[in-house]
Amino acid sequence: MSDLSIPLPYRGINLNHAASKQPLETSAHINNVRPYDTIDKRARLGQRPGLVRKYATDLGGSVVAICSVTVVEWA
Amino acid sequence: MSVTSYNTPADGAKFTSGDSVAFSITTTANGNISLYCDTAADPATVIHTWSKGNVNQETLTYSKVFSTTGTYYWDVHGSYVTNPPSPRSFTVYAVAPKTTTPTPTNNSTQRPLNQQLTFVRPSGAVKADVWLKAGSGAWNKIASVTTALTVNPGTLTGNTTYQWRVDTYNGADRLTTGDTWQFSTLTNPTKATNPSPANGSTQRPLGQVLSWTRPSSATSCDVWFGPSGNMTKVLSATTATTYDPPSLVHSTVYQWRIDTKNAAGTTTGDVWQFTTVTPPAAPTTPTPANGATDVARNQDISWNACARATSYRVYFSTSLAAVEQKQSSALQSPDVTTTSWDTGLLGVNVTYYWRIIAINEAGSVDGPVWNFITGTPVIADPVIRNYKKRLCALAANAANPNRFYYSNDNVPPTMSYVTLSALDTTKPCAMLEAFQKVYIVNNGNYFVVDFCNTALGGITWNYTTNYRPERGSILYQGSAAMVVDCVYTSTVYGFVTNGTFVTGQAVTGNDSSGRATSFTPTTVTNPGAAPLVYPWKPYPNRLSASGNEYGLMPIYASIIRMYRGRCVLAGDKNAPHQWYMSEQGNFYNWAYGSEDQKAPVAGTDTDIGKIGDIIRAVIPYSDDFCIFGCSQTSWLLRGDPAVSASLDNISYVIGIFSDTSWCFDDKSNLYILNPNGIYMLPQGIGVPVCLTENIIPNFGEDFAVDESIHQICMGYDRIRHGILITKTTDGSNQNYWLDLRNSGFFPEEYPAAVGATSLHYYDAMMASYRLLHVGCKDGYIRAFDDGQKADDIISGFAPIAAEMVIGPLPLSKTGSVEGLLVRLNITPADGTDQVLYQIFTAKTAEQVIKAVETAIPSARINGIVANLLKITRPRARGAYFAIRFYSDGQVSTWAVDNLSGEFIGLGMVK
Repeated sequence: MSDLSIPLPYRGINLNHAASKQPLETSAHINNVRPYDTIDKRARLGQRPGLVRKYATDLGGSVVAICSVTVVEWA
Repeated sequence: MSVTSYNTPADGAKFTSGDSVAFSITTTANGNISLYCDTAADPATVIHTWSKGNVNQETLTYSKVFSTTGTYYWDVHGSYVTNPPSPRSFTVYAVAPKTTTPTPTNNSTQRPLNQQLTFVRPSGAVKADVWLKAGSGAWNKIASVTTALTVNPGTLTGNTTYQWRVDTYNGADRLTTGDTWQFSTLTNPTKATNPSPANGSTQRPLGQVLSWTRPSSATSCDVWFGPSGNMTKVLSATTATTYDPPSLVHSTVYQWRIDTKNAAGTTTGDVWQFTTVTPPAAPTTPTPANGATDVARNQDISWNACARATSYRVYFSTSLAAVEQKQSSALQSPDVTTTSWDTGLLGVNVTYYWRIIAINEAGSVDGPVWNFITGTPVIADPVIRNYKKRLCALAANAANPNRFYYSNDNVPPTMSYVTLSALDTTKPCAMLEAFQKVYIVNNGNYFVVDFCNTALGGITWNYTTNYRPERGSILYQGSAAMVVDCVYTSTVYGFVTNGTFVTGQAVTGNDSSGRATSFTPTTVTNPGAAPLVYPWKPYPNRLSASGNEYGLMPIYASIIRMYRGRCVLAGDKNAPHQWYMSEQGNFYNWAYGSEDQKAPVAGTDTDIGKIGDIIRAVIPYSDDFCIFGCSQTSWLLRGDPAVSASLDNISYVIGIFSDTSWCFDDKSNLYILNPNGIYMLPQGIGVPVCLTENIIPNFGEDFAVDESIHQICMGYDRIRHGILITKTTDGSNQNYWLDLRNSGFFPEEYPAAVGATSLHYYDAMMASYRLLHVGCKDGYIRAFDDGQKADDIISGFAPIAAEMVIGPLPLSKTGSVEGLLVRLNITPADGTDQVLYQIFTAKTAEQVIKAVETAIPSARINGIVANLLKITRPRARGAYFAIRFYSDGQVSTWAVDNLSGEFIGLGMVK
């Protein structure tokens, strides 16, 4: 009897196979998990990062379009 | 009988004209005795009579001067002269004339030492004696000549005055003393002149050749040369006027002398001298100064101009030894003649060593080793202006649908807005950033949000003295100048290149045809914190108040992109297959049909034609190609459609969902969302590959996109190297994270309020904002933050419901034999708050899955793990097992570092 490593689903979701043939390193049930953790940014599966407001401004409705423009501004 | 004898003149005697001829006879005759004399052989002319009275012997004489030349005969007759002798003769000669026409001419000078004496002997001079006297010496007869007219006096002495004369003799040998003539012989030559190098000159090259001017009085020269005080004769009697001294040594005084020579002698020349070149002075005054710090990376090196240096050798290196020892690795070739050297772009915070060797023909002088240290560059704004990147956004704000939001500067987190009349963000809208402006298409309206131009307003166009200016023309107001960008009604928008425009002063300019623009603006709006906003129209007619000189924009467009500098519009609901492109670099020209290669072009205007499918997306890739993603097909446009382009089919079965359902990754692979899957078109647009077909085979059903209710976005996250695919309904959402590092799809779900409605990677100046921005349902712009354990919703933070199921995995070697999980080791990542786990077992894999789906764990095996957990004797028995990790519903985070277990086999599954 020896310790066996149990593979984690680094390759994400896979719904393509029979339950008994679930490919290693995949999962049929996975949600809000990313292969690189937010703690050390290592490949060891963990909860995804949170979505955080970057701007205090409420634009008043669904943000339907975003772009950025480079501007040469007066000194 | 008498006896008579003639005494004188003797027979044949010679006399010179004017001589007195003495006749003398001796006779014994008496009586009259006549002397007969004339030029006849028997003379008949009595020239005298003697009277003798006795017969004694007596000598009788008579003299007579004869002037006339000739031969005379004489005898005597008398009565008592019997048997006189025969007549005798004598000749009277003229005085011998003097010689004439002497050569050398009288008083001539510089006669050669072999001068011959020549004269003309006139007739009557039957003989000549040539006499010569040198200086104050005695006269010497040097020749008696009877026929020769040239006498060689022998080698004369130079520098001497000679006198000579030619005495002539007549037939009577009577001397006529000639005139004395004089000449002087050749003198010594004058000295040589015009020495080169000039006497006393210095810094003469080691290859100096001497030259001089030999006087015409000299026939040759002796050349003396040598170091000062030690001249030797190096050339004798040379006719050359140059001398190339061998092996001159630097810093040496040389003397030289030219002795001129001719037949008269040698004239000793003046002594001239020159000094050869001395080595140059050493380099000094380095720039940058020795030991300088914080030197700019583009600093060139320079030094003083060294006296006498003709070139410089540069040694430059980061190695002190290489410069000190003048190694080839530090040598910068070729040598320079200026006093500076271009270092190129230097490193950051690096010490450089250098030295300069001053060189001339005399040798070289090493300068000292200098050094300096470059600084750490400050990331300064380029040139003279600041660059800012503003984030811009539109939100479907029902209360304020005409707002355009922009970040204030490089320091978020607030956004300001300007209002655009007629903008309705509750209708489909899209934006494009180009030329420091944002162009907006919205429900048939077009807008420009202008961050760079200055607006001159209050203009009245009269089309005689004030035409609308040509785009790109220059307008001036004093020293201020602007380049015209566009005109809208009574306002000119242009980019100011110099000075500042003000109201109340005239603005003038001319177009390319010379038509004048002249107006005085009543308003001037410069770019500042807030942009200018104005409708986006084709450039107005310049020559009249109305007309479509620059074409028409499509009535409606919902897609806007830029390809090859052209604005591309599509998504015209009235012409869904049509595409439109403006002129290159000019979004205000939509007049199709010109043959100019930059001219606007549209689908119906070229050989390419319209697309045969409804255009849903326009995907430009730099200037290489542009993809038209359509509802069921995809097309690839290569090249510029106004010149020569091709439109090729990529796929007849793969279309694209919308203009926001695509993105490129960092390797230029294109990802598109098709209702049936997510496709990847490799770099260079290879064969599309469906990424989901073997992973999520029912993607179409599972994702179930519906354009009438779903907002689909795709965006590449450069930080996390993955693609976010979002589908948002009225808040609820279904998303995937495609991690490009392991090619795995990871489903995600966000709170309804933060469902993504737009994505944009903002390459901000501030690193902390250089993120994939997520425009959300609730009107806020968010980003993923690794430091946050929950989603930020307005009312607080919503825990993230994360879970993953490992398995089903067999508990034995095969799934037909039961096994027992003896031990399970769970190693959460350090930093995990806590994570819940459940273990499911069953006789079949499907039963395990069902258990997972119903969340009924087996064998009472579940718990919380925060640190390394070893579960012994979990009593998980079955043919298959699964382990579920899931969040605890708190604001927390977790990750699993390792999972292992120990299993034993049991019997066959019953």
